Amino acid sequence: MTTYIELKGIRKTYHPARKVSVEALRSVDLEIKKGEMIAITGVSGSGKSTLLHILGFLEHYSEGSMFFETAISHKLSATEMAKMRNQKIGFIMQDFALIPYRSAYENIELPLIFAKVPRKDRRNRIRVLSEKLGIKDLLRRKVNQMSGGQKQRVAIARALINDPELILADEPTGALDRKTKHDVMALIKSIHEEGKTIVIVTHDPEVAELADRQLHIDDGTIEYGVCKL
Amino acid sequence: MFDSFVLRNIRRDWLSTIILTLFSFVICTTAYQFIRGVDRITYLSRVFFESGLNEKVFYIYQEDDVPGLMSELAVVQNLEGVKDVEQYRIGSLSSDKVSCTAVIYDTPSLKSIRYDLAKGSQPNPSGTNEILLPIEYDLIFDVGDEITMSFSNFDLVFDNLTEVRTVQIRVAGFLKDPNVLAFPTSYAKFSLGHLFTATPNTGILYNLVDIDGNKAIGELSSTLVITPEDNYSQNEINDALVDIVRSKSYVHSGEALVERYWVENDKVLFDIFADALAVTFLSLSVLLAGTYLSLISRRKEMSVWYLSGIPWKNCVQAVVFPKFFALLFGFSCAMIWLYRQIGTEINYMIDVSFRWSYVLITFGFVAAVFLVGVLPFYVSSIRKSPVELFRKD
Ligand SMILES: Nc1ncnc2c1ncn2[C@@H]1O[C@H](COP(=O)(O)OP(=O)(O)O)[C@@H](O)[C@H]1O
Ligand SMILES: [Mg+2]
Repeated sequence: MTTYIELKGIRKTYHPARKVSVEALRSVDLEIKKGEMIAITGVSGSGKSTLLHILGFLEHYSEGSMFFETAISHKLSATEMAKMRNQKIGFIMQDFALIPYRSAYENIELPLIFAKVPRKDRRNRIRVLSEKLGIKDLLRRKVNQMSGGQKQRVAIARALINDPELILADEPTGALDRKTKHDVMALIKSIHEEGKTIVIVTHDPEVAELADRQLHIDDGTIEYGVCKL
Repeated sequence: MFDSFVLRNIRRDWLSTIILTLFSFVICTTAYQFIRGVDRITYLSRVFFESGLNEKVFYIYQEDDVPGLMSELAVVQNLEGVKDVEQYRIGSLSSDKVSCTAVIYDTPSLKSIRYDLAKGSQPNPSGTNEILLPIEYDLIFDVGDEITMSFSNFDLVFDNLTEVRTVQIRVAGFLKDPNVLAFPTSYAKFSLGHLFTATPNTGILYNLVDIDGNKAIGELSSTLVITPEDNYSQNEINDALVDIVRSKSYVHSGEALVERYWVENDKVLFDIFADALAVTFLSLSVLLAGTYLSLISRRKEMSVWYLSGIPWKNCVQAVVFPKFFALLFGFSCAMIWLYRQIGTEINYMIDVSFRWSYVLITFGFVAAVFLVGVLPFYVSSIRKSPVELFRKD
């Protein structure tokens, strides 16, 4: 497998100018290969989400070097960051990150709108994907009228609709009960089997078990990695 | 593409767009009325100063008796320190189609009065028979039209001069405002506002001659416009006149007229400014609160847009820009509405005049209010990172 993403000495400092500056990440080195599924564990406040946000172009890193198919400057413009999020990344969040008072269809459509996909193509792609994920009957329903499991399926559809190579999931099962958790994990696993690279942040050992590799973060540094194979 | 996303949001958020459009409509028409009010109140004093009338003394003879007027005129002319006394003349013009009262200005001070014109240009001071018609006549005549009419004295005081003569006049322009120096109404506390009065169907005519080339005579006005000698002040002349003329309380210096006018109108002007201030503050609070609320209530939605691939700035703009669209839409509706009111009378008094300068100032004012009302939360929202919304544990 070739190197897909590489972080070297990545630091993230919040409010560096102020007295109460917070070092969320201190010197993180990480290599991710294409098609890998990685689980990141760690206690609350250890920097898991921060790492995921940097991988997902939601935030800039402060220091270090990042490689994502090509070298990524820590001063990437807002437009370039947005383009990376739109084209290369799919996000699955604990709170689903869906617009509650809009329909599933409208939520799934957003990345396509920002990618300037014509209306007709948008409709076709949403139809095909929703059939595959078994949410075809939910498309017209408003998100706030759905169960947690349904919401997470819609969120997964939104994450996949632009066919990104990297899926980032932050506690995707944190708000779900046991049964739906297994359904959602099975879905994520099947996405992985189709060749997507997945980084998943979780508290849940059961979920972490599914990954090829587990990383543990403690106080902003990666402690150890467990290789499954 | 991003613009179409803003448009999409306007459509999605149609209810708040409509409410804000109505709001903007009300603010725009109110601002327009304020601006027009201030302009109307200051108009007469502007005309007065620009034509140098503030340096004159005015005497309005009160009795309706021509020999008396002539002897008063002689008295005023002979007073030491009086350089010049000017009177205008009044007659009526009529053709088979229309008639109009002609106020004839022949002398330099009167011809230097610059009324605001709706169309056309000032008559040539050395030319003859050029007329400024009231704006209503715009429906019948155009600038440059030559009209043949018969001219007769306004009323028949001089029995021997009642003959009717044929004159050919040329339309130089149309008066924007009906208030002209023609028929002062007399009050003890006489002010500018009484010197210039709105009289229907009254036009201003320079140097009238008939078609045979003879100077046409009209009735002499009982208003005397008195220019003091250079080394005499208007107050000296004013005081000297009060001692010798018959209608003593109707001698007024130009300065006193302006002063009394402002005493009368200060309160009106103050009220306009007070109302404008209240409206400004009210609109600012509505806009500040509205912007704040929409940015808060749609924060989740904005963060989802951010996640899905547009810069945070664009997310904030997609929520905020529809407000400016509503401003533009409300503004356009307001101006169209006002434009359609041209010529209608409200309470027989306020003629709704439409002026592009008012439109521009209104737009500047309302745009400034919108900017101040929307920008603070726009800027603070752009600075706030959306990422905190994705940090759940
Ligand atoms: N905007 C911020 N300003 C200051 N500190 C922050 C901010 N966001 C996160 N942090 C801090 O960074 C550390 C890592 O946070 P996070 O990555 O969310 O942890 P985790 O997801 O592992 O619970 C925490 O100590 C948190 O308090
Ligand atoms: Mg977290």
